[in-house]
Amino acid sequence: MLPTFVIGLREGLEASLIVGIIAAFLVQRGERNALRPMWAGVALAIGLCFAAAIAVQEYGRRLSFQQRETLEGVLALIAVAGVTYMVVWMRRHSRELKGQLEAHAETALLSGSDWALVGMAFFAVIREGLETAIFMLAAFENSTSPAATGLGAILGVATAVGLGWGLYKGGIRINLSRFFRVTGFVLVLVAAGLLSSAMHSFAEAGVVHTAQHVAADLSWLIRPGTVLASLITGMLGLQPQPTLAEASAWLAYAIPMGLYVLWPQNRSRKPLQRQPVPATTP
Amino acid sequence: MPRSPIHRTLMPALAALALGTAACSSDTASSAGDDGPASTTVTAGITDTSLTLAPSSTEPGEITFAVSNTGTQIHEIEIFKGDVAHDAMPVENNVANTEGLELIDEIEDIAPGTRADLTAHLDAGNYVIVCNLPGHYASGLHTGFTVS
Repeated sequence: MLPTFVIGLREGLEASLIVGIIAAFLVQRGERNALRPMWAGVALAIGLCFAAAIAVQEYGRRLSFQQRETLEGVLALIAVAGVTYMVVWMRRHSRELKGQLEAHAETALLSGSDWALVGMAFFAVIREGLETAIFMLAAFENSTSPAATGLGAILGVATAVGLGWGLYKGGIRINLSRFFRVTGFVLVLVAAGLLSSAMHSFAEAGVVHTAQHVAADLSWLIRPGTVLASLITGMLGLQPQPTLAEASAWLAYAIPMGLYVLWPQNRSRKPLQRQPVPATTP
Repeated sequence: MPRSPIHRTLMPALAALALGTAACSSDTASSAGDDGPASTTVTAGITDTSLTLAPSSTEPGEITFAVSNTGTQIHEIEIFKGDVAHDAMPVENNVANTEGLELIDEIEDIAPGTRADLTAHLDAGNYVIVCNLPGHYASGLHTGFTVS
């Protein structure tokens, strides 16, 4: 049961975190009416994944290995672009926004950026979804003990969804600037992981050839098959043995973007200081 | 601003996915009953210390590896094409160095007690099949495969 739990947790985590943050973000922005299309998109993605998984199981894999990996890599890059947009948006608006955003209540029509977020939730799910759906079906159908393996798989995915839900719940409770900092930082790590897994996919597809030797051996920390490893891989996209290409992509994104997100913490005082100092300072 | 570029990139991806799925059914429908390229099934057994194939050689064409993991750990199957002795690959950082070999296909995350099928089109040549999770190559999860 543990092995399938661990796989389910890892596969479900990235999408759950992204969807959880998007949902909280929409609520924080006062765009609750964008939640319904978002959930519809998520449900559609899950449905498509299972339909495709059943087709694959019935008829065998017809998308070649290279095509599959290329598609996964491209979807990861799209997700990185979407997440980056969201992080930058949060960072830009975090100061001015506070009251303004909360007052900016229900909008009648969804704006373009809402639709982009809805689309992002859809693609976050569809990216890992196909592999997860194939794995879930296998856990039940191709298993010597379907009850134990199937239950493990379901519990794993459910735990991942639970973590995403927790992030959502926590996210709509805390104040806006903290929300932006915390979720912004989580998103930076998720996006860095996505970028590094895009490098992984492109390398497997044969698109990227350079820097393919192992850069670091983290398998002492990320021991495949353990819960800790699933959390780290699922959340941060870190492989036990990242190649140079994967590791540099991760660092090249995580360091500048991480600083970018955390910076306002220190700088938020500056705009206040620049304001004319009242003459009556004690 | 963000809407159109995202849509423009997303839609082709979605279309590709949909086409891929559609292609599944149509492709197979035509090749299932036909006498197209030879289709062979190779049984692949994985334990925590071994990887065995039966038969260990076959003719070129569509080859389905029926993999079953009877070990206690999660394993994977990676098929590489190249002329290298499967039991003499250099090991670096706990994994077999596969540089210079062509990765043909793989299945990751085969849980203990489960089966998985991997169908790949293999041309004539020498192949090595490994589970390259850290430490697993050294435990003996490697074998050779010949297509001629």
